[in-house]
Amino acid sequence: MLIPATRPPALLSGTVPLLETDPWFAGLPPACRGWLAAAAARRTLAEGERAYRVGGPPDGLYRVLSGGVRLISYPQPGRSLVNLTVPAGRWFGALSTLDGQAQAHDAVAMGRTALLHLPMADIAALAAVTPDLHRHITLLACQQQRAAIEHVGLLLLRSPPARLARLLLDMADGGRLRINREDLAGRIGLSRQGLHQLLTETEQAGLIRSQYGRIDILDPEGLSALAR
Amino acid sequence: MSIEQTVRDRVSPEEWKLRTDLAACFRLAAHYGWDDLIFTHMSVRIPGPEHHFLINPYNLMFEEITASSLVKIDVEGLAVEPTPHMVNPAGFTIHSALHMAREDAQAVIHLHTPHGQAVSAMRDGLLPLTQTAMIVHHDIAFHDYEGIATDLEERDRLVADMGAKNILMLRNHGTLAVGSSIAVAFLRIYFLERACEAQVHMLTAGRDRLHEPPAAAIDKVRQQSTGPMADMAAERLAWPALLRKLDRLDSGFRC
Repeated sequence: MLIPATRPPALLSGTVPLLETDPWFAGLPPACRGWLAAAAARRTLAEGERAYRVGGPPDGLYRVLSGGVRLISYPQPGRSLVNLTVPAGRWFGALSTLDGQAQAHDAVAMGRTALLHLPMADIAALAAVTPDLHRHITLLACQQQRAAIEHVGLLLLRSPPARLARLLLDMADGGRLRINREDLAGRIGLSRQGLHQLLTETEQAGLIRSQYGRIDILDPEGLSALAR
Repeated sequence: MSIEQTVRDRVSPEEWKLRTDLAACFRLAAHYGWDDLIFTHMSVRIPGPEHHFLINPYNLMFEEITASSLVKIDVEGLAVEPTPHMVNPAGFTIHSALHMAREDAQAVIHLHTPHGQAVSAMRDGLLPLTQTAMIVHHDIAFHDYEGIATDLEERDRLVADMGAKNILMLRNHGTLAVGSSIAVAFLRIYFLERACEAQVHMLTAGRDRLHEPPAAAIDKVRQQSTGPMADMAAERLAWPALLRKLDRLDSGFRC
Protein backbone atom coordinates (compact mmCIF):
# COMPACT_ATOMS: atom_id res chain seq x y z
CA MET A 1 0.00 0.00 0.00
CA LEU A 2 1.29 3.42 -0.99
CA ILE A 3 1.95 5.79 1.90
CA PRO A 4 0.72 9.21 0.72
CA ALA A 5 3.30 11.99 0.59
CA THR A 6 1.84 14.53 3.00
CA ARG A 7 4.93 16.72 3.28
CA PRO A 8 7.23 18.18 0.63
CA PRO A 9 10.03 15.69 -0.04
CA ALA A 10 13.07 16.25 2.15
CA LEU A 11 15.26 16.57 -0.92
CA LEU A 12 13.41 19.61 -2.22
CA SER A 13 12.80 21.32 1.10
CA GLY A 14 16.51 20.77 1.83
CA THR A 15 18.42 22.50 -0.94
CA VAL A 16 16.04 25.08 -2.40
CA PRO A 17 15.92 27.42 0.67
CA LEU A 18 19.71 27.29 0.87
CA LEU A 19 19.92 28.65 -2.67
CA GLU A 20 16.95 31.05 -2.64
CA THR A 21 18.68 33.31 -0.11
CA ASP A 22 21.81 33.57 -2.25
CA PRO A 23 21.99 36.80 -4.31
CA TRP A 24 24.03 35.21 -7.11
CA PHE A 25 21.61 32.32 -7.43
CA ALA A 26 18.61 34.66 -7.34
CA GLY A 27 20.09 36.59 -10.29
CA LEU A 28 20.40 33.53 -12.54
CA PRO A 29 18.13 33.07 -15.57
CA PRO A 30 14.89 31.52 -14.25
CA ALA A 31 15.36 28.52 -16.56
CA CYS A 32 18.62 27.66 -14.77
CA ARG A 33 17.49 28.04 -11.18
CA GLY A 34 15.16 25.06 -10.99
CA TRP A 35 17.62 22.76 -12.73
CA LEU A 36 20.53 23.74 -10.51
CA ALA A 37 18.42 23.43 -7.37
CA ALA A 38 17.51 19.90 -8.48
CA ALA A 39 21.17 19.09 -9.15
CA ALA A 40 22.51 20.65 -5.93
CA ALA A 41 23.85 18.28 -3.29
CA ARG A 42 25.02 18.93 0.26
CA ARG A 43 28.49 17.84 1.31
CA THR A 44 29.93 17.91 4.80
CA LEU A 45 33.69 18.06 5.30
CA ALA A 46 35.66 17.42 8.47
CA GLU A 47 38.47 19.80 9.54
CA GLY A 48 41.27 19.57 6.97
CA GLU A 49 39.24 17.52 4.48
CA ARG A 50 39.41 18.67 0.86
CA ALA A 51 36.47 19.45 -1.45
CA TYR A 52 38.95 18.98 -4.32
CA ARG A 53 42.71 18.81 -4.78
CA VAL A 54 45.19 20.88 -6.75
CA GLY A 55 45.60 19.31 -10.21
CA GLY A 56 42.19 17.60 -10.01
CA PRO A 57 39.55 17.88 -12.74
CA PRO A 58 37.00 20.72 -12.87
CA ASP A 59 34.37 19.92 -10.28
CA GLY A 60 31.65 22.56 -10.60
CA LEU A 61 30.73 25.22 -8.05
CA TYR A 62 30.59 25.14 -4.28
CA ARG A 63 28.81 27.46 -1.88
CA VAL A 64 29.97 27.50 1.74
CA LEU A 65 26.90 27.00 3.97
CA SER A 66 28.72 26.96 7.31
CA GLY A 67 32.34 26.82 8.39
CA GLY A 68 34.86 27.99 5.80
CA VAL A 69 37.30 26.86 3.13
CA ARG A 70 40.91 27.83 2.48
CA LEU A 71 42.13 27.81 -1.12
CA ILE A 72 45.76 26.72 -0.87
CA SER A 73 48.33 26.69 -3.66
CA TYR A 74 51.89 25.32 -3.68
CA PRO A 75 54.20 27.82 -5.39
CA GLN A 76 57.28 25.74 -4.49
CA PRO A 77 57.75 22.20 -3.22
CA GLY A 78 57.25 22.26 0.54
CA ARG A 79 55.78 25.79 0.54
CA SER A 80 52.07 26.39 0.70
CA LEU A 81 50.23 29.68 0.40
CA VAL A 82 46.64 30.46 1.35
CA ASN A 83 45.36 32.40 -1.65
CA LEU A 84 41.98 33.08 -0.16
CA THR A 85 39.71 32.18 2.73
CA VAL A 86 36.12 31.56 1.60
CA PRO A 87 33.60 32.31 4.38
CA ALA A 88 30.00 31.09 4.69
CA GLY A 89 27.77 32.51 1.97
CA ARG A 90 30.52 32.72 -0.67
CA TRP A 91 31.16 30.50 -3.71
CA PHE A 92 34.35 28.87 -5.00
CA GLY A 93 35.33 26.57 -7.88
CA ALA A 94 34.46 29.02 -10.67
CA LEU A 95 37.94 29.13 -12.21
CA SER A 96 38.16 25.47 -13.32
CA THR A 97 34.45 25.40 -14.10
CA LEU A 98 34.99 28.20 -16.64
CA ASP A 99 38.31 27.28 -18.26
CA GLY A 100 38.05 23.49 -17.94
CA GLN A 101 41.65 23.34 -16.67
CA ALA A 102 42.98 21.50 -13.60
CA GLN A 103 42.23 22.91 -10.13
CA ALA A 104 44.73 25.62 -9.20
CA HIS A 105 44.53 24.93 -5.46
CA ASP A 106 43.40 22.59 -2.72
CA ALA A 107 40.05 23.55 -1.20
CA VAL A 108 40.50 22.69 2.49
CA ALA A 109 37.80 22.81 5.17
CA MET A 110 38.40 25.08 8.19
CA GLY A 111 36.68 23.11 10.94
CA ARG A 112 33.54 21.15 10.20
CA THR A 113 32.20 22.70 7.02
CA ALA A 114 28.92 22.28 5.12
CA LEU A 115 28.93 22.91 1.36
CA LEU A 116 26.36 22.99 -1.39
CA HIS A 117 27.76 21.50 -4.60
CA LEU A 118 26.56 22.18 -8.15
CA PRO A 119 28.17 19.36 -10.19
CA MET A 120 30.19 20.11 -13.32
CA ALA A 121 28.14 17.85 -15.63
CA ASP A 122 24.91 19.66 -14.80
CA ILE A 123 26.49 23.09 -15.28
CA ALA A 124 27.93 21.99 -18.65
CA ALA A 125 24.57 20.60 -19.82
CA LEU A 126 22.73 23.75 -18.77
CA ALA A 127 25.31 26.11 -20.26
CA ALA A 128 24.97 24.31 -23.61
CA VAL A 129 21.33 25.45 -23.84
CA THR A 130 21.61 28.64 -21.71
CA PRO A 131 24.97 30.20 -22.64
CA ASP A 132 24.24 33.18 -20.38
CA LEU A 133 24.98 30.87 -17.41
CA HIS A 134 28.68 31.27 -18.22
CA ARG A 135 28.45 35.06 -17.81
CA HIS A 136 26.94 34.54 -14.37
CA ILE A 137 29.71 32.12 -13.37
CA THR A 138 32.20 34.72 -14.62
CA LEU A 139 30.79 37.08 -11.97
CA LEU A 140 31.69 34.51 -9.30
CA ALA A 141 35.20 34.21 -10.72
CA CYS A 142 35.53 38.02 -10.62
CA GLN A 143 34.28 38.11 -7.04
CA GLN A 144 36.87 35.51 -6.09
CA GLN A 145 39.62 37.34 -7.98
CA ARG A 146 38.82 40.65 -6.26
CA ALA A 147 38.85 39.01 -2.85
CA ALA A 148 42.17 37.33 -3.68
CA ILE A 149 43.70 40.65 -4.79
CA GLU A 150 42.72 42.20 -1.48
CA HIS A 151 43.98 39.21 0.50
CA VAL A 152 47.31 38.93 -1.32
CA GLY A 153 47.73 42.73 -1.37
CA LEU A 154 47.43 42.93 2.41
CA LEU A 155 49.79 39.99 2.68
CA LEU A 156 52.45 41.78 0.61
CA LEU A 157 52.02 45.26 2.12
CA ARG A 158 52.10 44.27 5.75
CA SER A 159 55.30 43.19 7.42
CA PRO A 160 55.41 39.57 8.59
CA PRO A 161 54.98 40.59 12.29
CA ALA A 162 51.93 42.69 11.34
CA ARG A 163 50.46 39.79 9.33
CA LEU A 164 50.95 37.42 12.24
CA ALA A 165 49.43 39.88 14.72
CA ARG A 166 46.38 40.55 12.51
CA LEU A 167 45.78 36.82 11.98
CA LEU A 168 46.10 35.99 15.67
CA LEU A 169 43.67 38.76 16.64
CA ASP A 170 41.17 37.70 13.94
CA MET A 171 41.27 34.03 14.80
CA ALA A 172 41.65 34.00 18.58
CA ASP A 173 38.71 32.77 20.61
CA GLY A 174 38.91 33.83 24.26
CA GLY A 175 42.54 34.86 23.89
CA ARG A 176 43.57 31.49 22.50
CA LEU A 177 43.71 29.81 19.13
CA ARG A 178 44.49 26.29 17.98
CA ILE A 179 46.34 26.05 14.68
CA ASN A 180 49.16 23.94 13.35
CA ARG A 181 52.45 25.55 12.33
CA GLU A 182 52.26 24.55 8.67
CA ASP A 183 48.81 26.04 8.32
CA LEU A 184 49.89 29.24 10.05
CA ALA A 185 52.99 29.54 7.86
CA GLY A 186 50.88 29.13 4.70
CA ARG A 187 48.42 31.76 5.83
CA ILE A 188 50.99 34.48 6.41
CA GLY A 189 53.26 33.47 3.55
CA LEU A 190 56.35 32.37 5.51
CA SER A 191 58.45 29.23 5.50
CA ARG A 192 58.17 27.07 8.63
CA GLN A 193 61.62 28.22 9.75
CA GLY A 194 60.65 31.86 9.18
CA LEU A 195 57.49 31.36 11.20
CA HIS A 196 59.40 29.70 14.03
CA GLN A 197 61.76 32.69 14.21
CA LEU A 198 58.86 35.16 14.21
CA LEU A 199 56.92 33.28 16.91
CA THR A 200 60.03 33.15 19.09
CA GLU A 201 60.56 36.91 18.74
CA THR A 202 56.91 37.69 19.44
CA GLU A 203 57.00 35.44 22.48
CA GLN A 204 60.20 37.10 23.73
CA ALA A 205 58.44 40.49 23.37
CA GLY A 206 55.84 39.15 25.84
CA LEU A 207 52.92 39.37 23.40
CA ILE A 208 52.07 35.66 23.11
CA ARG A 209 52.86 32.24 24.48
CA SER A 210 53.39 29.63 21.76
CA GLN A 211 52.96 25.91 22.39
CA TYR A 212 52.47 22.90 20.18
CA GLY A 213 49.23 23.36 18.21
CA ARG A 214 48.17 26.32 20.38
CA ILE A 215 48.90 30.03 20.81
CA ASP A 216 47.79 32.16 23.78
CA ILE A 217 47.53 35.93 23.46
CA LEU A 218 49.12 37.58 26.51
CA ASP A 219 49.01 41.23 25.43
CA PRO A 220 46.14 42.04 23.05
CA GLU A 221 46.87 45.78 23.00
CA GLY A 222 50.51 45.23 22.14
CA LEU A 223 49.46 42.85 19.40
CA SER A 224 46.95 45.40 18.03
CA ALA A 225 49.71 48.02 17.86
CA LEU A 226 51.88 45.53 15.96
CA ALA A 227 49.06 44.76 13.52
CA ARG A 228 48.70 48.40 12.40
CA MET B 1 26.74 -9.02 11.22
CA SER B 2 24.05 -8.96 8.53
CA ILE B 3 24.81 -9.52 4.84
CA GLU B 4 23.76 -5.93 4.19
CA GLN B 5 26.40 -4.54 6.53
CA THR B 6 28.98 -6.89 5.09
CA VAL B 7 28.37 -5.81 1.49
CA ARG B 8 27.98 -2.13 2.30
CA ASP B 9 31.18 -2.10 4.35
CA ARG B 10 33.10 -3.93 1.67
CA VAL B 11 32.22 -1.89 -1.40
CA SER B 12 33.02 1.72 -2.36
CA PRO B 13 30.38 4.44 -1.84
CA GLU B 14 30.13 4.66 -5.64
CA GLU B 15 29.37 0.93 -5.96
CA TRP B 16 26.82 1.12 -3.14
CA LYS B 17 25.03 3.95 -4.93
CA LEU B 18 24.96 1.87 -8.14
CA ARG B 19 23.62 -1.09 -6.15
CA THR B 20 20.88 1.07 -4.62
CA ASP B 21 19.90 2.51 -8.00
CA LEU B 22 19.88 -0.89 -9.73
CA ALA B 23 17.86 -2.51 -6.92
CA ALA B 24 15.43 0.42 -7.23
CA CYS B 25 15.23 -0.24 -10.97
CA PHE B 26 14.12 -3.84 -10.33
CA ARG B 27 11.54 -2.74 -7.76
CA LEU B 28 10.18 -0.18 -10.23
CA ALA B 29 10.00 -2.80 -13.00
CA ALA B 30 8.00 -5.04 -10.65
CA HIS B 31 5.81 -2.08 -9.65
CA TYR B 32 4.98 -1.27 -13.27
CA GLY B 33 4.32 -4.95 -14.06
CA TRP B 34 7.31 -5.29 -16.40
CA ASP B 35 8.79 -8.38 -14.72
CA ASP B 36 8.65 -11.85 -16.27
CA LEU B 37 8.86 -14.08 -13.16
CA ILE B 38 12.61 -14.22 -12.45
CA PHE B 39 13.61 -13.91 -16.11
CA THR B 40 15.21 -10.96 -17.96
CA HIS B 41 18.12 -8.97 -16.63
CA MET B 42 19.22 -5.44 -15.85
CA SER B 43 22.90 -4.68 -15.38
CA VAL B 44 25.25 -1.81 -14.65
CA ARG B 45 29.00 -1.38 -15.10
CA ILE B 46 31.10 -0.73 -11.98
CA PRO B 47 33.65 2.01 -12.81
CA GLY B 48 37.26 0.84 -12.75
CA PRO B 49 39.76 -1.21 -14.73
CA GLU B 50 38.30 -4.62 -13.71
CA HIS B 51 35.30 -4.65 -16.10
CA HIS B 52 32.96 -5.81 -13.35
CA PHE B 53 29.20 -5.52 -13.50
CA LEU B 54 26.21 -5.80 -11.18
CA ILE B 55 23.27 -7.99 -12.21
CA ASN B 56 20.23 -9.58 -10.61
CA PRO B 57 20.56 -12.97 -8.92
CA TYR B 58 18.75 -15.53 -11.09
CA ASN B 59 16.57 -16.89 -8.28
CA LEU B 60 14.90 -13.73 -6.98
CA MET B 61 11.67 -12.04 -8.01
CA PHE B 62 12.26 -8.41 -8.96
CA GLU B 63 10.37 -7.15 -5.90
CA GLU B 64 12.70 -9.18 -3.68
CA ILE B 65 15.91 -7.67 -4.99
CA THR B 66 18.01 -5.51 -2.65
CA ALA B 67 21.22 -3.52 -3.05
CA SER B 68 23.16 -6.25 -1.20
CA SER B 69 21.73 -9.20 -3.11
CA LEU B 70 22.89 -7.98 -6.55
CA VAL B 71 25.67 -10.16 -7.91
CA LYS B 72 29.05 -8.80 -9.03
CA ILE B 73 30.17 -10.55 -12.23
CA ASP B 74 32.93 -10.35 -14.81
CA VAL B 75 32.47 -9.87 -18.54
CA GLU B 76 31.78 -13.61 -18.97
CA GLY B 77 28.93 -13.39 -16.48
CA LEU B 78 30.73 -15.33 -13.73
CA ALA B 79 30.47 -14.22 -10.10
CA VAL B 80 33.71 -12.59 -8.92
CA GLU B 81 32.81 -12.73 -5.21
CA PRO B 82 31.17 -15.44 -3.13
CA THR B 83 27.39 -15.11 -3.32
CA PRO B 84 24.59 -17.19 -1.82
CA HIS B 85 22.63 -16.54 -5.03
CA MET B 86 22.34 -18.21 -8.41
CA VAL B 87 23.92 -16.45 -11.41
CA ASN B 88 23.00 -16.94 -15.08
CA PRO B 89 26.02 -16.35 -17.34
CA ALA B 90 24.02 -17.10 -20.51
CA GLY B 91 21.52 -14.37 -19.58
CA PHE B 92 24.35 -11.82 -19.56
CA THR B 93 25.31 -12.51 -23.20
CA ILE B 94 23.29 -9.65 -24.68
CA HIS B 95 24.27 -7.28 -21.88
CA SER B 96 28.01 -7.97 -22.00
CA ALA B 97 28.06 -7.42 -25.77
CA LEU B 98 26.63 -3.92 -25.34
CA HIS B 99 28.59 -3.01 -22.20
CA MET B 100 31.87 -3.96 -23.89
CA ALA B 101 31.15 -2.37 -27.27
CA ARG B 102 29.78 0.93 -25.98
CA GLU B 103 31.56 2.98 -23.33
CA ASP B 104 28.35 4.99 -22.89
CA ALA B 105 26.30 1.84 -22.20
CA GLN B 106 26.83 1.93 -18.42
CA ALA B 107 23.39 0.48 -17.73
CA VAL B 108 21.43 -2.08 -19.77
CA ILE B 109 17.75 -2.89 -19.15
CA HIS B 110 16.05 -5.80 -20.93
CA LEU B 111 12.33 -6.68 -20.64
CA HIS B 112 9.79 -9.20 -21.95
CA THR B 113 6.54 -7.31 -21.37
CA PRO B 114 3.48 -8.36 -23.41
CA HIS B 115 3.26 -4.90 -25.02
CA GLY B 116 6.98 -4.83 -25.81
CA GLN B 117 6.81 -8.32 -27.25
CA ALA B 118 3.75 -7.39 -29.30
CA VAL B 119 5.41 -4.36 -30.90
CA SER B 120 8.66 -6.32 -31.40
CA ALA B 121 6.64 -8.72 -33.54
CA MET B 122 4.98 -5.98 -35.61
CA ARG B 123 6.51 -5.51 -39.03
CA ASP B 124 6.54 -1.69 -38.76
CA GLY B 125 7.90 -1.68 -35.23
CA LEU B 126 7.04 1.32 -33.05
CA LEU B 127 4.88 3.85 -34.87
CA PRO B 128 5.57 7.55 -34.09
CA LEU B 129 1.89 8.25 -33.56
CA THR B 130 1.97 9.49 -29.96
CA GLN B 131 4.18 12.07 -28.29
CA THR B 132 5.62 9.35 -26.04
CA ALA B 133 6.47 7.19 -29.07
CA MET B 134 8.11 10.19 -30.81
CA ILE B 135 10.40 10.72 -27.79
CA VAL B 136 12.02 7.30 -28.37
CA HIS B 137 11.15 6.44 -31.98
CA HIS B 138 14.28 8.02 -33.51
CA ASP B 139 16.52 6.10 -31.09
CA ILE B 140 15.37 2.52 -31.89
CA ALA B 141 17.44 -0.17 -33.66
CA PHE B 142 16.24 -3.69 -34.54
CA HIS B 143 17.83 -7.11 -34.08
CA ASP B 144 16.34 -10.23 -35.67
CA TYR B 145 15.53 -13.23 -33.50
CA GLU B 146 18.05 -16.09 -33.48
CA GLY B 147 16.78 -18.26 -30.61
CA ILE B 148 17.39 -17.85 -26.89
CA ALA B 149 20.51 -15.69 -26.78
CA THR B 150 23.28 -17.83 -25.34
CA ASP B 151 25.41 -17.94 -28.50
CA LEU B 152 28.51 -15.76 -28.08
CA GLU B 153 28.70 -15.20 -31.85
CA GLU B 154 25.40 -13.38 -31.71
CA ARG B 155 27.17 -10.63 -29.73
CA ASP B 156 28.83 -9.20 -32.84
CA ARG B 157 25.58 -9.07 -34.81
CA LEU B 158 23.80 -7.50 -31.83
CA VAL B 159 26.40 -4.76 -31.51
CA ALA B 160 26.36 -4.09 -35.27
CA ASP B 161 22.55 -3.85 -35.27
CA MET B 162 22.54 -1.53 -32.25
CA GLY B 163 25.00 0.91 -33.84
CA ALA B 164 24.86 4.27 -32.04
CA LYS B 165 21.19 3.94 -31.01
CA ASN B 166 20.14 3.56 -27.38
CA ILE B 167 17.09 1.32 -27.72
CA LEU B 168 16.99 -2.14 -29.27
CA MET B 169 13.79 -3.80 -30.37
CA LEU B 170 14.65 -7.48 -30.09
CA ARG B 171 12.43 -8.89 -32.84
CA ASN B 172 9.85 -11.46 -31.63
CA HIS B 173 11.42 -11.26 -28.19
CA GLY B 174 11.26 -8.00 -26.21
CA THR B 175 12.77 -4.58 -25.54
CA LEU B 176 16.13 -3.25 -24.40
CA ALA B 177 17.55 0.17 -23.51
CA VAL B 178 21.02 1.38 -22.59
CA GLY B 179 22.07 4.58 -20.83
CA SER B 180 24.96 6.51 -19.34
CA SER B 181 23.28 5.83 -15.98
CA ILE B 182 20.52 3.64 -14.60
CA ALA B 183 18.25 6.71 -14.48
CA VAL B 184 18.78 7.48 -18.17
CA ALA B 185 18.26 3.85 -19.27
CA PHE B 186 15.18 3.56 -17.07
CA LEU B 187 13.52 6.64 -18.56
CA ARG B 188 14.18 5.33 -22.08
CA ILE B 189 12.60 1.95 -21.39
CA TYR B 190 9.73 3.66 -19.52
CA PHE B 191 8.82 5.82 -22.53
CA LEU B 192 9.28 2.83 -24.86
CA GLU B 193 7.04 0.54 -22.81
CA ARG B 194 4.34 3.22 -22.45
CA ALA B 195 4.48 3.87 -26.19
CA CYS B 196 4.24 0.13 -26.97
CA GLU B 197 1.22 -0.17 -24.69
CA ALA B 198 -0.48 2.80 -26.37
CA GLN B 199 0.28 1.31 -29.79
CA VAL B 200 -1.33 -2.02 -28.91
CA HIS B 201 -4.43 -0.12 -27.78
CA MET B 202 -4.57 2.20 -30.79
CA LEU B 203 -4.27 -0.67 -33.26
CA THR B 204 -7.64 -1.97 -32.12
CA ALA B 205 -8.96 0.85 -34.33
CA GLY B 206 -7.17 -0.70 -37.34
CA ARG B 207 -3.90 0.45 -38.90
CA ASP B 208 -5.65 2.40 -41.69
CA ARG B 209 -7.87 4.33 -39.27
CA LEU B 210 -5.06 6.03 -37.30
CA HIS B 211 -4.25 9.74 -37.64
CA GLU B 212 -0.70 10.48 -38.85
CA PRO B 213 1.04 13.48 -37.23
CA PRO B 214 3.04 15.92 -39.42
CA ALA B 215 6.61 14.76 -40.15
CA ALA B 216 7.90 18.15 -38.92
CA ALA B 217 6.35 17.53 -35.49
CA ILE B 218 7.98 14.11 -35.26
CA ASP B 219 11.34 15.68 -36.06
CA LYS B 220 10.79 18.48 -33.58
CA VAL B 221 10.17 15.99 -30.77
CA ARG B 222 13.35 14.14 -31.78
CA GLN B 223 15.36 17.35 -31.28
CA GLN B 224 13.55 18.17 -28.05
CA SER B 225 14.19 14.77 -26.51
CA THR B 226 17.90 14.40 -27.21
CA GLY B 227 20.99 15.98 -25.67
CA PRO B 228 22.36 16.52 -22.17
CA MET B 229 19.21 18.22 -20.88
CA ALA B 230 17.26 15.03 -21.54
CA ASP B 231 19.77 13.13 -19.37
CA MET B 232 19.46 15.81 -16.68
CA ALA B 233 15.68 15.43 -16.71
CA ALA B 234 16.15 11.71 -16.08
CA GLU B 235 18.83 11.99 -13.41
CA ARG B 236 17.83 15.14 -11.54
CA LEU B 237 14.05 15.17 -11.82
CA ALA B 238 12.51 11.80 -12.68
CA TRP B 239 14.90 9.45 -10.87
CA PRO B 240 14.89 11.19 -7.45
CA ALA B 241 11.07 11.34 -7.73
CA LEU B 242 10.97 7.60 -8.49
CA LEU B 243 13.21 6.85 -5.50
CA ARG B 244 10.87 8.86 -3.27
CA LYS B 245 7.95 6.87 -4.63
CA LEU B 246 9.77 3.61 -3.86
CA ASP B 247 10.62 4.81 -0.36
CA ARG B 248 6.91 5.39 0.25
CA LEU B 249 6.09 1.91 -1.11
CA ASP B 250 8.88 -0.11 0.52
CA SER B 251 12.39 1.16 1.13
CA GLY B 252 13.66 -2.42 1.48
CA PHE B 253 15.56 -2.14 -1.81
CA ARG B 254 18.11 -0.02 0.07
CA CYS B 255 19.19 -2.96 2.25
